[in-house]
Amino acid sequence: MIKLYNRLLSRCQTINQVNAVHIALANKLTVSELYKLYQQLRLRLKFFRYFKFFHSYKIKLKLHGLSEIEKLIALINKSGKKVPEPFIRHRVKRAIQLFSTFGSKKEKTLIIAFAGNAQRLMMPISVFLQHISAHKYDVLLLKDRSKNGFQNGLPGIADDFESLMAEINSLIDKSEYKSVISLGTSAGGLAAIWTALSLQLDKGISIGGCGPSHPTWQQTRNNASEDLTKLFHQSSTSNLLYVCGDGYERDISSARDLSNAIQTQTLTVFSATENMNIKHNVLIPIVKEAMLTCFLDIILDPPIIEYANKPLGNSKLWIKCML
Amino acid sequence: MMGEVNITSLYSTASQQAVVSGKQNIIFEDLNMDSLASMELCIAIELELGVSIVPEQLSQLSCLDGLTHEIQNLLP
Repeated sequence: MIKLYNRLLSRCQTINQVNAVHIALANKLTVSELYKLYQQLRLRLKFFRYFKFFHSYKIKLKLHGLSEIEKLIALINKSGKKVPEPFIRHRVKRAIQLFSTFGSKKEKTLIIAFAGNAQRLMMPISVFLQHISAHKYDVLLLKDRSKNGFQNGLPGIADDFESLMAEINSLIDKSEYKSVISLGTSAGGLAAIWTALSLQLDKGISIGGCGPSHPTWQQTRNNASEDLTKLFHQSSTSNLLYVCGDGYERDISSARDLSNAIQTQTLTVFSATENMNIKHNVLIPIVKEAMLTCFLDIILDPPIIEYANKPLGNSKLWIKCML
Repeated sequence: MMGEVNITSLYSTASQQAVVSGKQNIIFEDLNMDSLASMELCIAIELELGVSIVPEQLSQLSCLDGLTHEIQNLLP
């Protein structure tokens, strides 16, 4: 790992190039891989951290890289867990990865996860994985590099969204798992809901996704809202959830747009303090409040009971869930 | 003085053309950019224009107008 990392960094000549490497790593590395890299890097750069006058520009770039990894570790440590969750990454196909411990699946839930345009679930994958249990969940992560809400399918796998759902169906065996759910963030949100309905999954969750009236979905269909409504009535899946922050009007409108087409629960996250506005990335404030494990426990296990304003643990964040 | 554009109206071609031609400005606060988005914007500027602006510099610029002036100053 350290050899690969050093090779990647040796080609970097600017801070932005170092940042590009770290964004790519953050979207790929498991918790164990990240911890291992961090330990090796910290050891190698220990001398330079204390003796700053020895810094060449290359060393400064390496120290910048180390500080980016430390920020990531800090987010991971918000989980409060002393050991890394033992997820292992497996390349299923190009743009599809499975994160699993590869043990028995009978007591596990498979999360079919649709990443947003930033190729992540609103956070580095290691942060997400550390906040769920590797013994309870497997994660099948799909990433759309064309940034078109999976409407173009995935290169080498499917040419359009319908074919992609058929391909996903062929990749998984629902009977092997206790339950199978879909979850999508931002540009992947509606894809998750649509997949849950099409493949008759146990639950579909959109976090900050668009509604069916969004141009991305209207351009590939005559009437996406009508198609979604028809699909909802044909499907046995009724456990659908939309999550958004109360400070972002676009997502609140998307929740309304989605609810106009199909029956969904809407869970809104808001802050009890005035100076904290929960916007599009609703998950990162929850991570920073060390509440993501608690939050994911609430949304991942079906069903959610409706309730009015309720505090999220003992944090500054509150949630309300309505039909 | 440049007019300011409502960010959702950027979906319209007319608004996009107005921004590109310099007749309308974009306030960065309206974009709700997180740290990742700031990093990716700086990376894209460096790749496309060969100009190095880091996220810390970007946070001191409040709008697109300020960013374009900064880039012009840094261009060889």
